[in-house]
Amino acid sequence: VIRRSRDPFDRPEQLLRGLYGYVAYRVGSGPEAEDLTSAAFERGLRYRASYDPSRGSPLTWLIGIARREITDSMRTPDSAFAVPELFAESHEPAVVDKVVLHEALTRLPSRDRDLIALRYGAELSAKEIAELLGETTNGVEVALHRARARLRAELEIAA
Amino acid sequence: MIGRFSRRHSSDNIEDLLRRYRPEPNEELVTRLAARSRISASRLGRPFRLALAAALGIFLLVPLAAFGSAADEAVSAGKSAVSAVTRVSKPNEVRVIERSAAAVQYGDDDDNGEDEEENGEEEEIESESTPPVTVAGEQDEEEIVAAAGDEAETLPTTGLSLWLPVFGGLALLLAGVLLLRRGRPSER
Repeated sequence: VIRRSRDPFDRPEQLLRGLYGYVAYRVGSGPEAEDLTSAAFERGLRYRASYDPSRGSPLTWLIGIARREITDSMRTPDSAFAVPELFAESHEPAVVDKVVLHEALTRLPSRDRDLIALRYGAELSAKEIAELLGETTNGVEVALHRARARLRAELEIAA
Repeated sequence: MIGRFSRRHSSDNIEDLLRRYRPEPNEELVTRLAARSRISASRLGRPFRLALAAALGIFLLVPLAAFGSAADEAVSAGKSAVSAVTRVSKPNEVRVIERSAAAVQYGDDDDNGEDEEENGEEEEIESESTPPVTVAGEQDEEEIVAAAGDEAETLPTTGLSLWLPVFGGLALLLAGVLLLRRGRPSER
């Protein structure tokens, strides 16, 4: 849990892990996620004086910036891809599992992917997500439940 | 391949899976951006430190301003010195009071007595008969110079030494420089 303080970059390492987790679940881990994380972080540094602790945690504030960065980058979501059998046989199971999960995530609707990235990438609570999206906590919990169900279905369909 | 995945993980533990395989950033990226954040924080603090120094400077000047300010003090000290030198160097004028009250009352008794007896009228006393009365010029010039010197070294109203705020200001400046050196992060 990132402590709320006047300076949002009080603990930058922890902040960066949450930010990258969100971005990577949104656009896929790799150079593009790193570029977007850097861009959002740099923009946050430029506007650090405007951060208002009463309006949310530093991570929530920074993810708000990252979401705009992702939208501005006009990136089209990853198209679904099939993991080649050769790749599966030549890599560690954990690596394969990551790739399979990412492949299933790319097939989800944008909103589901956004919610999963916020909850499991940035590790925000349902309440924080609700504040960020301007929705009710209950509404977010229901939407998250559906998103998980769709992800499960994707994995089962693929199996 | 997906079949193998599903055999390893039941679909019920989607949450665990998402947490376990949460993407982690490159350490180099984290280090670089964290360093940027700290540099940015030090830049953010610079205006604050300048404002603090300015506030302390003003705080130091306010007591002096209340007693006539440092500039007034310097000006009045200079004026006192010039006045003292002028008094010493310029020869004193001797003012002669031609028609003093004393002369009227106690003028030349003999002449006036005769005249009064003869004429029975009051006559004006001749100015030449009154002794000249001198003012100023008889004061101790050394005392004036000493007084001027004392005034120049003390604050008006309080009479405190002028060096007190000067030393106070220098001590504050020294403390500021020491704190700045101590607070500066060591170069890596």
